[in-house]
Amino acid sequence: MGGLLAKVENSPDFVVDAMLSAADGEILRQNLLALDGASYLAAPAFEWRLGQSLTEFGRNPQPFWAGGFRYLSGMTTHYIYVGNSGLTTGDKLRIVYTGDTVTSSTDVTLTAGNQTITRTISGLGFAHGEVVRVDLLLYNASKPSTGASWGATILQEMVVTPVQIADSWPGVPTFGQITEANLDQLSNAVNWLIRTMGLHHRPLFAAVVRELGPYGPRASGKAGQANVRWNGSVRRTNEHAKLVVDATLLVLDPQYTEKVELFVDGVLRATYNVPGAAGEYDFQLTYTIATAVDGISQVELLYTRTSTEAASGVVYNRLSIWRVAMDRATEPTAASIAAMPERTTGNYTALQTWLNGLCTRVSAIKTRLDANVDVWGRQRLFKRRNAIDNDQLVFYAPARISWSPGRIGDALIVRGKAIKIGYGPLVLPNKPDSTNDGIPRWYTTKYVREEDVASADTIRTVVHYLDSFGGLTPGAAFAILGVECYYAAEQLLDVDGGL
Amino acid sequence: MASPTAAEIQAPITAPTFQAEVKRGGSWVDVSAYVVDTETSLESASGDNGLAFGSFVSPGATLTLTKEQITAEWEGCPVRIKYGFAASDKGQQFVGLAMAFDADTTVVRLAGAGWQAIIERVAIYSPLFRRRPIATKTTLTSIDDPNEPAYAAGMINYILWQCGGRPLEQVVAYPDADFYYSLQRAAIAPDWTWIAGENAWDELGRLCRAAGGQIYQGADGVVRYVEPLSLADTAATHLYTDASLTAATKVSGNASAYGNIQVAASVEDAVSRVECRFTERRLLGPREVYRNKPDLYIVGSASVTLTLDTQLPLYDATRVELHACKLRGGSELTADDITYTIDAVRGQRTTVTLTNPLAVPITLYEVALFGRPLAAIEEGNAYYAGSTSRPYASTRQLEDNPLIQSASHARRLCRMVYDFATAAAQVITLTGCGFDPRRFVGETVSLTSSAHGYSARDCRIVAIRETKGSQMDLTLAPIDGLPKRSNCWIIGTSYSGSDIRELSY
Repeated sequence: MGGLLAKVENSPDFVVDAMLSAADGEILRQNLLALDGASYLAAPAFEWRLGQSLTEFGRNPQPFWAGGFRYLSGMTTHYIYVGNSGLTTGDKLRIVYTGDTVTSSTDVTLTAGNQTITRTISGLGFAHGEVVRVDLLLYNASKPSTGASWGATILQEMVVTPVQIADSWPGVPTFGQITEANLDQLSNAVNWLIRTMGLHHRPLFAAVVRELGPYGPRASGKAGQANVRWNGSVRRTNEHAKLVVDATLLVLDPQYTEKVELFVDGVLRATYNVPGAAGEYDFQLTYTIATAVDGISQVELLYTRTSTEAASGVVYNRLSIWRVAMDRATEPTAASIAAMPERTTGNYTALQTWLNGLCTRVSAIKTRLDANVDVWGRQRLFKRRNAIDNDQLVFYAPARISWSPGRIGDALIVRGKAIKIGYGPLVLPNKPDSTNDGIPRWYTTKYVREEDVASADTIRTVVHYLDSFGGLTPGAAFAILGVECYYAAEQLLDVDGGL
Repeated sequence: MASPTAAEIQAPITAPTFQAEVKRGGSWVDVSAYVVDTETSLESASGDNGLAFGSFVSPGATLTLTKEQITAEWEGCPVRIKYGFAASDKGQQFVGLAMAFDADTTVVRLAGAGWQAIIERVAIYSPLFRRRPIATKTTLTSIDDPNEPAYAAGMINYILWQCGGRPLEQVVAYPDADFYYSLQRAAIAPDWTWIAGENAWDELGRLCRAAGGQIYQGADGVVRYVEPLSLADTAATHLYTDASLTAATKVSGNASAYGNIQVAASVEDAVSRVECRFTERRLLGPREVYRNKPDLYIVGSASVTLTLDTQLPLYDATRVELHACKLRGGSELTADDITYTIDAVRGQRTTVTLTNPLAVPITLYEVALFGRPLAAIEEGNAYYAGSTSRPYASTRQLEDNPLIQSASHARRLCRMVYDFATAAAQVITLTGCGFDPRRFVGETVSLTSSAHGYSARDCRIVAIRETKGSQMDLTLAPIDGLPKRSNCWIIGTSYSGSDIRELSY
């Protein structure tokens, strides 16, 4: 098994009158080391979607958002967080679920301001592990008059919840004697953590790749929409207070004064000044969100230019955004657990201390999970993304791709058709022989490693173990490319496949 | 009648008695009157290291009978040979099957083999066992019947049961078993164990070599598995000495004499480093594991059972895909139309029964099976390097074994092999011992030899070879310095804070 929970194994069963095995102790120890590290997992962001009322050329209801989630046994509720303005009485949001065999549609009346829509998904007939496509459509009760202020609905976040296993928490023992019951309770607690954490699904991030720089100058204040390069939301949790943005800037024309700005809830919080020399620059913007509220914070990334641009011949720089997430304010230091190899000799007090130390670690991880419902108790929805292939993944050309900034998972779950995974460096199979406006011609690039993950024939859900892709080590970035993809997510551990 | 006494056995002049029986027509037939000669051989290990892991040898016997028995039924007949002294009961020294026949005009020689002859001929397909010890302890209440819902026994238990064996401890419940077995709980549990039609006796050996321990058949006919830490964990019950003793002192000192002693050791057994390869395996999510085009004709309303042999062992099977149609063609019949049941998922063999839903014949032209297979994913090496300072010590590479599936397993096995190889590198042979039916393979005895400087050195009997109950040769393996179960922490035992033990492998 790969990813953050690499080498995690089903914890041992103990039997009375058996020798206490170093192997069993080592399995528990290795499991806890992996679980401890994974329990600090950062909280992902959700990209916003703006929907507007019916226009002259729109249909009613009009498609607003499409994507999906993976239904897991025990899930009950789908939460949709929207912000509405300028509504016409009777405007509705249509929510359509399409599973393998079940389709369900519901209309919900929209109300002004922030609105939390709650839909019950248990009982709809979805099977465990099934990818459910979700379509949101806006229904307008009446057509706005020309020139009127059209209404707007912003999709701020969507999650399904809870993510949980059927078994209740077994608790941890205190070792007086090394009884079968005590040892099995410890094993069961570790297995409970493995299975609970293994259910974590992380939808791939919609990475912004080489988007053009600012379309217009900005003198002061917040720029207009044209300059917004990413707009979404994060949640500040008890464990995760630091907003982190990982990005790359490709500077082609360094003659202007430009910045990448991070706004949180409308307030400028961090700035990256574009270097004054051509080149490729990786950078990170961070901001610590102080308020310990499990609520939504809006995140905007703007690319602005403060100098006057030339009348002609403007060359736009390229901004890539690889990751937006909530991280821990300080990096946790992994605590070690002493190894007890085979034939380790010692007194009983030392053995008790070691076993109780394992129990303490189990409790600490459980507490961390309980304090991070946003990561461990919910599953964010994946936004449908399609039509990204080699012909469009061209050098210097902007794109949006489903992207994992660093593999965390054991399995890749994909629903769609004609889908490939790409990783490793982008290479240029054919070097252009001329330039255009001072920059090379756009030409096709290709990942060094590309493999098919879903056939082109029919839309289907496939599960791939990421270990099966040679060289895709934990922490390595990868992209999902293809014609049609309704869902792409990493699962921390394919617990259905067995430990 | 009574068992032979020490005085009878150790008397200067003693008269061994014997009884030979052959099971014909379901009953034991006494053929003692026709016996010309008997020889038996019992071993728990062969080769240069009497404590090496595996199931190397089965007991053997040669029964020479007079010409009256030449035409008698012999093929595969159970044979047993018993010895006694004077008027005592006769103790069983061999039980097995007649596997070979060699006759001239005056005598017939039957070559007997142990239950290996049965075990290696049974094709067994098991489910996948997840991290179970290769053997679990057999007791009066242990669940060894695979049909029991709570079955959680090891693969050795499974194989022996499928071959007709039953736990010795449950002899009352199974009085007519083909043979009996008695097993200890193994120290190492491979990640996955299964058997898929291979030679089951060889598979028992592979299991032992993957987790340590020995399988052998004793004089009583019981197939035993001894886990490695118990090989040296019993006190000596008898002394073999080169001191001059009278019959009386032999009886009072629980001692015997031997004619000659030979001690052998090899540089090959001096190990400073043990290396082992492993192949990791993991359970994959549900997927297609079998597809074939059987073009099977099924008469109307009939049921057929399909045997689907998969390339990978299966943990479970979730569904079957079927494509069939009437002989005259027409619309396709699928698994939605055809009732089927997945009867059994046994490693690499799954059986499916399906019923033709129509009154007319159909042709099944395609079948596919979906389930969770176990796949090999990664190979690696592990080793254990000891602290031996022998100048000639060498590296031992363990043979590849599909049951070694993790670095942890491989490293612990290397350590175990190292511990046993460095401590048990001698083979001691005692010849010219008076036959003693109380001695058995697996027994711990003491050995005194003035020539070799041994004074009551603890050894394990690893082989007994006798001729017609008169004399016997013993092969011994010294066990001093070996790891012992009694030195380990035992689950369920109460300890105080100052108690000192060690973790097992």
